[in-house]
Amino acid sequence: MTHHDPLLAVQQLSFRYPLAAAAETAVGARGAAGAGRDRDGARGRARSGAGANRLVLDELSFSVRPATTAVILGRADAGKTTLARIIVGLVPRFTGGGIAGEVRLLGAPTRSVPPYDLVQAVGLVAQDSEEQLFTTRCDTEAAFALESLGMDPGLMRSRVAQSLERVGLGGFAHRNPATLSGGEKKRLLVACLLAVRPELWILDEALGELDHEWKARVLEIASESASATLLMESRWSSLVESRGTSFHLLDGGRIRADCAGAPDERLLWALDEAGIRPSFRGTPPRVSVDGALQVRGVRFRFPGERGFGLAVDHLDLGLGEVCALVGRNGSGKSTLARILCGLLRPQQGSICFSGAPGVRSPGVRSAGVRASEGRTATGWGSEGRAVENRAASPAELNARVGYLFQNPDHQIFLPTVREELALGLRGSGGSRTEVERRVSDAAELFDLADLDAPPALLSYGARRRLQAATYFLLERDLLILDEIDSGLSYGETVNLVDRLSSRVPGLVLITHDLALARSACHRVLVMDDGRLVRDGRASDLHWGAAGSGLTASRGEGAGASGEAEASGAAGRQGSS
Amino acid sequence: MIAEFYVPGASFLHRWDARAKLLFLPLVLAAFFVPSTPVVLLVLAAMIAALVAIALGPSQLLPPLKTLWPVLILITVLTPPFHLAGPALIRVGTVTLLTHEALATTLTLLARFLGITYGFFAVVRAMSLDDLVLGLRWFGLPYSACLVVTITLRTIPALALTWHAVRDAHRLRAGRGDRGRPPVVKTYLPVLTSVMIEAVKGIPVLAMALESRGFGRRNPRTSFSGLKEGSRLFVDAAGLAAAAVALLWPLVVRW
Repeated sequence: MTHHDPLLAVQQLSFRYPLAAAAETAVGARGAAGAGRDRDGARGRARSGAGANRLVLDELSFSVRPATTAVILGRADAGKTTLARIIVGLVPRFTGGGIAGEVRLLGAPTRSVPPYDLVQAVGLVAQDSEEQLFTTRCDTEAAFALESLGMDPGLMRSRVAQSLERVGLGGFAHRNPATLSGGEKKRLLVACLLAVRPELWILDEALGELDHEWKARVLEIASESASATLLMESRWSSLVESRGTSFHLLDGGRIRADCAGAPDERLLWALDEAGIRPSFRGTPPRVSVDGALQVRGVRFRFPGERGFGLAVDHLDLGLGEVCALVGRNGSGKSTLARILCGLLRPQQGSICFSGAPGVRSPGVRSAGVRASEGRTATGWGSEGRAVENRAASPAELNARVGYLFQNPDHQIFLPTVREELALGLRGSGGSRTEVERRVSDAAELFDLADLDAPPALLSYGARRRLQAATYFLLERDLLILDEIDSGLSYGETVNLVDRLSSRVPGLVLITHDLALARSACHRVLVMDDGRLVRDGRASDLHWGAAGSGLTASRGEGAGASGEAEASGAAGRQGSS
Repeated sequence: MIAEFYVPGASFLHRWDARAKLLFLPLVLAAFFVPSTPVVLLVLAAMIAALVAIALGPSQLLPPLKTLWPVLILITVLTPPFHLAGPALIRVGTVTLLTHEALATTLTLLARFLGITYGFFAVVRAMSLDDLVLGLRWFGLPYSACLVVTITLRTIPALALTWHAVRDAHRLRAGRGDRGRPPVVKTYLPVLTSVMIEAVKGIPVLAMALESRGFGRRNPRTSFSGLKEGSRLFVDAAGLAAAAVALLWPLVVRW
């Protein structure tokens, strides 16, 4: 192989899953095709073609040259993960399926080479980090592949220590990976690659759970350590644009548009049409619903935890607004979310609902909600008179505040889509016919055409839609979406948010993406080290100079093209 | 499990070589099953409890008791009625409540349960999973079998985490009108089913993760961690011999 030969060459690659998995992709495709009401549905219909017989990859060809960063962009069901797994030798070895065409790595075909013999040639950081972690300590996790390679123990220890240090996990060597945050798990997987130093790094949605600072650093580490990087992303960002050297839009199993060097107009147009680039449609109109979820003096610390503690003195989440909650990994976003929905009980403070009765459930809305202490707040009852709101019990918070977990697999578990959607409607007082009608309506709205499909076999995007549809039907007063944009394109995410906000009075989006916050939210809350450090409009925030975090810039139009990623060392520069 | 039980520390029990600790376990078992008197077994159990208290701290005596107390109560209550032969110790009218044999049997069983539990607790509390695997490998267990041990011991707590996540999901999806009735979302079965589905789905994923990190290669594997060698190992072996004498002295005296 010469310097000019491609490191990776994919030639006329076609792949089709076997029967069971074909249903998976087909359901997603049929779902998108079935609705046909919005642009996603229309595109799904065009893309899916033959439905169950659809090829996941259809005579796909592209190459990655040394010293480059190739970016494959595509929506959630585009086949990026399948492609990544084919390159590293996992598919069809573990899934079965029909494959044609060729993958050449370092000049040699890889179709018949098992994954364990490709360790030094190619490494993968997968979208779901929990899939790749299996030991009980971070250092042994990073060392596993080196042990497989038979590396000298002394050199191995040195490599592992350097790798963990490089990704900011130097003090985590003996920590159990299961206890790390999502972003830390991703960094640990990067350390695993860094220890082995394969020629080609494949980062499959690897930036999803990382904050802005670490996204940039991971790409920097990859470009320094690998001969070439293949980045799989469902969303466009300034970081992707600045680091990528070639761009390929994967759609319908083929490369629909591509370019080398700076992205050209044709590619950008295709990305816009696919919903991969953020579209700045302006902040959505605020729905006129009185009332708020009031958080007062909440303090929380995990048992036995000495470092991190959550402290929120005063927060009102208004019903009728879409709010973004941003912050670096480990800043306490998910902890606050779990407190708001009653899954965690604060040691101090109160949470209560205040305000006039809602559209759907006046009797419930006038009741206050209690946390652990008996603090009270004044609100408005169903007759418009002031009432003394009591703090909420966890059960009341469970019933009024919904929470979409980061991992949809922890939230969908019944045998069919129909049963999954109907679960929360049982006991709601509606007749069987009424429940069936609402289930059908929700399935249509969220592009879940096959109600008898098993959720476990749906594609990632379809599982996310199903997860959202279940809460759409539950009609909670407030819904918290924890990194729902992870692995989804802008178009898919904004569509989900729009559909949910048509029914749910209050939405909170936990995200690392400031562009999404600008596009979909009225307000942005920034967390750092367990505290709310900034509260303002998304359009007033943008990324400052490197390392300076989020800054306020009124009237500077920080939104249009620049910083797509949010969260980080926020709030140290005054308030908005 | 061991990963969850293990508490890092610098006690002499922590510093004791993993191989010695692994040999200590069958010694404990043997000590409590050699023919002996209840008093001797109680003394042995007290010695092992003292070992836990000295090495790990007196507060560490409580966790095993919290788990064991129902069993200990059942033994205390249910053993005497089944051993009514011999001279009575407590009699109410014509009814014999406790005999010498019943007392001896009850104390023997209590000593065995407590002693063996504290013995295993002392070891798992002071031995990391990596040391356990290294020790097992030193004794000749094949690497793939050790990997099975590692993954099994990691998977069980991971399933517990999944259980909590799924249970939380069920709680959040209980309908507003569900409270006060026994809906399906409040039973364990759906949560258990969901966790089992998650576990089964994880099998091929785990296989992919292992092979993508080189598991299956033909070349000999090396080891990131290592066991002690040299004089320190000699000291630990001597400690093990002392423990053997201490634990098996009733047998020695008998001979």
